[in-house]
Amino acid sequence: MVLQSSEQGLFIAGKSFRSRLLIGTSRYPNQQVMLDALDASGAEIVTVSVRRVSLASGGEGLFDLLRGKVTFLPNTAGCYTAKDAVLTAELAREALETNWVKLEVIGDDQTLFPDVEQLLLAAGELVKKGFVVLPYCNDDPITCRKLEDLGCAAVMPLAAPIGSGMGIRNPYNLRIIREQCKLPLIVDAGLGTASDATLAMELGMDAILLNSAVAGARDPVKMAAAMKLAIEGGRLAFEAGRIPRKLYAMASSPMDGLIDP
Amino acid sequence: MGIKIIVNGEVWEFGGATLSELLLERGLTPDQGGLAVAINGSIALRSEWSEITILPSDNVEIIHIVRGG
Repeated sequence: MVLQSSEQGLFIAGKSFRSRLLIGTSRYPNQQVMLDALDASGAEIVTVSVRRVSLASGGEGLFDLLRGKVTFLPNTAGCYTAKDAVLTAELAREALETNWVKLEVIGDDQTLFPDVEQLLLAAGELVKKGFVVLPYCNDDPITCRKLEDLGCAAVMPLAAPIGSGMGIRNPYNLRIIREQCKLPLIVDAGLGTASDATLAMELGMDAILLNSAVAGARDPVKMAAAMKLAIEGGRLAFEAGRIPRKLYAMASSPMDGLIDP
Repeated sequence: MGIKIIVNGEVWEFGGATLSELLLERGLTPDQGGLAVAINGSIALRSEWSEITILPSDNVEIIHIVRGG
């Protein structure tokens, strides 16, 4: 049998997904490129935001455009307090008829790093209100453990600041988080290119959430396809198990039967 | 003469009575998808939009789904 892709899917809160890529809908050159990139990525879960309806817009058509084709994951981007994040999640639940939420509570608009204190407060409250909470958090094992203890459905540590394209700045922390956390782990934010996604998957992450790396690429559709393949490759490598690193060589070819002229 | 309320952070003179009427006044159709409303920080359930009465000084947030990461 030729193994084409990982045998196991992604499981979050009792739901199963074939794709281990979650993708954002922001900052594509235009709507058609976004749709083509979403398609090429194979992603089933797609992130969206919640914003005030301006008098001029009359309601953006994104909901109707994607309804029935994807699983919506609304975020609470732009929220700085637990209170705002909880109300935003409730609005999203009402608008999208989903109790899933990508919980973001930002502490600083330059780094967009999470405000851990507010994040934990919001996570606890949303879990109590029956939400399936997927929190964007620091690559900090203790924060991840606290989010797990609060009843989150997954934990989404950052690789690097949102939109920075820096890749995985602390693979060792992600390894520790992987060893300690039983929840699905989704690397969210900071990836730049396909090899970053592969590395994350080789570290044992369950999935990747990205947006800028695809939307901002010269060819977003091609990068979406690259990310899909990179994630599948990384996952297969993780399941296969890499060989240990050794300082010295070990010959691949047999040493017996060498000629001796 | 309507009542003065706040809609999405700005003063709005509302000539109707119910939340459904407010949405229509704002150019939205209450049956369109991807919308949600909070009044004074509490969610207004879609099933109750036609029955909810808007009161003077109410703070109404009307949101929709937009692109996000």
